[in-house]
Amino acid sequence: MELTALQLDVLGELANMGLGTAAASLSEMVNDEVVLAVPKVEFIPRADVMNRLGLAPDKMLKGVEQVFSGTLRGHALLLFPDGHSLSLVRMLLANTGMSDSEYLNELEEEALIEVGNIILNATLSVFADTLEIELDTGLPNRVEGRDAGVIDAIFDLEPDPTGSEMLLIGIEFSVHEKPVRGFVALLLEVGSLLKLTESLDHYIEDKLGIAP
Amino acid sequence: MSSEQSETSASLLAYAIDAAEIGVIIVDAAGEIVVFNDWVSRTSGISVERALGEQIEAVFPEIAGSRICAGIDSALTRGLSVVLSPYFARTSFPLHAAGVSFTRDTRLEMQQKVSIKPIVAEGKVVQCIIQIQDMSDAMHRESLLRDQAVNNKRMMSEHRINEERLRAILDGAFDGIITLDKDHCIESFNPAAGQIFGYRADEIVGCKIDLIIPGILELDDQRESEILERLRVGEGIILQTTGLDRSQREFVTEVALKSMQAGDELKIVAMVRDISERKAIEQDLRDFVYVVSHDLQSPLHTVLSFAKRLRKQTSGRLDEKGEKSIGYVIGGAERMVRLIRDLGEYSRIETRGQVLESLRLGDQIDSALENLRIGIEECGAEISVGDMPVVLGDSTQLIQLFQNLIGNALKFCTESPPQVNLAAKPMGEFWEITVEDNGIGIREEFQERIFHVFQRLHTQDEYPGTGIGLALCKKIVDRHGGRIWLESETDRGTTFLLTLQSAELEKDAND
Repeated sequence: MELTALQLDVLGELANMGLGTAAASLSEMVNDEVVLAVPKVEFIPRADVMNRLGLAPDKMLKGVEQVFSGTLRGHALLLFPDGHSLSLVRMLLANTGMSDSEYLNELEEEALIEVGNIILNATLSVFADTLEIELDTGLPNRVEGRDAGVIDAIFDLEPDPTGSEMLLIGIEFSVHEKPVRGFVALLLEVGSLLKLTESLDHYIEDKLGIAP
Repeated sequence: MSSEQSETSASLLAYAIDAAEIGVIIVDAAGEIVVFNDWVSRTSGISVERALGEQIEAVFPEIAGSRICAGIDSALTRGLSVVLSPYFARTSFPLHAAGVSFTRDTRLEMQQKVSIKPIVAEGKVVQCIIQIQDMSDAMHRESLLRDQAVNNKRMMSEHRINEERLRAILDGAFDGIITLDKDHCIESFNPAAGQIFGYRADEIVGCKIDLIIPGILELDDQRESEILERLRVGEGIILQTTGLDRSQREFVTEVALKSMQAGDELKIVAMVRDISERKAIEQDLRDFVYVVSHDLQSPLHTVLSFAKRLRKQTSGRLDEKGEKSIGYVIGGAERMVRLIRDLGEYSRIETRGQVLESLRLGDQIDSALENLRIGIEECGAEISVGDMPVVLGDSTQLIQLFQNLIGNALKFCTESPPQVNLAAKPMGEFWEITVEDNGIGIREEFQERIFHVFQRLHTQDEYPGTGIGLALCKKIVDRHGGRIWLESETDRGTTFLLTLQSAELEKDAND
């Protein structure tokens, strides 16, 4: 399965818009500018996902995962290298008086789930709204692990019968001059790709006025 | 599935939702409440009947415009699931912990974790389910734990500071400081102790104290020493004993012991000082005084007896100046004899002292008065002696002590006849004895000085004496473990105060 350059561009653009919306909420929450990097959109083997994210290989990663279903099926991920999530929680709690170190570790999990939920929902909403498709999400789950272990943990319960390739739509973000760097990734199951290309073509034709 | 079966499972499901110990609210696509379980009803005080069919914001006006509403909206319109944790949510359902009696006005707000999830049927969101978990207890526990953690951390750091301070004191101390556990094994051993005994702390920690101070707490036959009993009742003890260093050299040490209750254990702190040098110097000094007092005596007696003989032989043959000169020689020699005698007595207080025993102090004072009888009669002094206790003492020395004190009172009198009052009053384990006179008094600036040897405030012509009397008194009182001081007003009199350890007469002693 391959996507055209235009389709890939649109996906990248959507990722940017999606995370842009999420970044706006996050900016508001941490009261600082959130900087987005150039999105990555590519087909890769499942095992290579973490490598491709380039997110501190061999380091502990913490984050949140949300399953989405509907027109497209897959997983939405928000991941932080270990330590960065704690910095984010510290920023979130800055005005609550709970940002003392004693509180942080315990609140990290709760905070991550909530922040992840907001960011991932915002990102997915943009996809659903723009492409005019149905996307339902499950409740967010915490994920933690080393490198590829994270991905294995996420897919552990649902082996992918269609093969190991998946579509990665990822975008890195950071908080201005703060030690907070994270990654939002949408991993689409190959089974949904036909529907995705349909939706993309529809969008390209309808909204951009370009014949696919 | 038959319609009957499906009805049964639907009612089972409804029963299960009602029985759940979490809150369950289900809202349909139009935003109307279709399920409002018993838990929500109980914790909100709103009946199921009132809630069903209503918009959720109508039932809970408090959540209007909150993230809960936004979450319900995004679940219904976009199929997105939302979680709201009690740590970050600014608005929550107006619920209070189940089981607590309440009115809506005085409710205790429940800390909630809310999750909102779309229910999708045939690709469309038909309803959304709102689940509410009571996190109040968990958060309360967490906050207690956090407080405790903060507290522990603070205490740990205080503890560490204290420990470091203590360590600095121990390391810098001049005295050897050793702590012992309940089995009298060495727990800590500071650098000064290392200097004294020649062991490193890591070599000696864990060993019995007997290795370096034999017999201090346990006797040879493993019986506990009397010292241990005294430590148990909280007494602090200072004693001289023999220390044993790494090379098995014996030396004199002064050890101060004090017990310390650490939890259930009685620990002992020992401060050790090597006093062999001091002892050697003291011994030299004693030898010197002994030599002086003995060896000077015989030539002096020769001088004195020949001077007296000379005066007798030349009686009437010398002019007035010659007679006077011989008088000076004899007077000077006699005074020197007295000086040497007193000095000898002073040096013998330690060396010739008897073991302290229980004594009736009144008897000792009577003996002192008997020795002073002639002097008392001559000056017409009035002496009153109050009730006197039984004290721990050396009879000879106590007689000497009071003889000196009363003698002083008689000597330093004004023109009126001397009056001396002796009294005693209890002071804890001691008795305070006062010897009060109506004599010339002692000016404040001299009060400390007069207890030192050879300190005289008057010329030989004004008041005869060697200047050893009060130094002797102090030495005697010191040896008895007491204290001596004075209160005085010039021309009004002096009161000497001293303390002696109280005692009880042994059963068959002098009764």
